[in-house]
Amino acid sequence: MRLAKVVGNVVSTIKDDGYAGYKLMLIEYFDPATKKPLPPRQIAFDCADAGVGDIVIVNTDGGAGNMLLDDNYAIVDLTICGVVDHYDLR
Amino acid sequence: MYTGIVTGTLVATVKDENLAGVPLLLVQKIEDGKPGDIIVAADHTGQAGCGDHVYMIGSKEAARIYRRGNIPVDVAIVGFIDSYNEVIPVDGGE
Repeated sequence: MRLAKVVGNVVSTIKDDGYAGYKLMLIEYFDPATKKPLPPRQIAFDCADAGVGDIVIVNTDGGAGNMLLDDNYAIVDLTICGVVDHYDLR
Repeated sequence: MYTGIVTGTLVATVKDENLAGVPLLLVQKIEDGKPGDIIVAADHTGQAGCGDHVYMIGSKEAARIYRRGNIPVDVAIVGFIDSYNEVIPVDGGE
C-alpha cells in the first residue's frame, strides 16, 4: 500500500458495468519523507469516503481491491482503503 | 488506472489467437496534462474512437476485466472521462 493525496475526482458515465456505483477519485502519490508529489496522477476507487485534500492509503493490488469493495465483478487496481489522520516518520 | 487520449487504430491479422476479436487502439497516455508515450490498448468498452478521453486499467486486471478465459492484454480501456476535476492543480505543492 502507498500514501497518496486525493487531488480531485473523475466523473464517467460510459464505463465497465462492474464500476457502477463506485466513486472515482484522482490521487497523487507523494514521498512522505520529502512531502514531494510523485507524478503521474492516477485514478483510484474510493472505499473509505475520502474527500479532496485528504491523505489516504491506496491499495495497489487488484485482488485486495476486490476484497475491499467486497465485489468480485468490479475489476479494480487502485483502491483507497483508508484516510490518514497523521503519520510520524522517524 | 491512468488516463489517455485515443489517437489511432491498429490492425494486426497475424497475432495470438486469443487476441482474436479484441479491438486494438493506439492511445497516448496523458500524465499530469503532458502527453506521454503512445501505447497499444485493448478497447474493452468497444466504443472508443479517435479523440476520446479515456482511462485504462493495467497489468493483470486488464486481462481479468474481460472475465472470460485468457485474453492476453496488459492495458484495457475501461471507460470514458466525462469530467476530470483537478481540484488541486498539478503544481499545487504542499
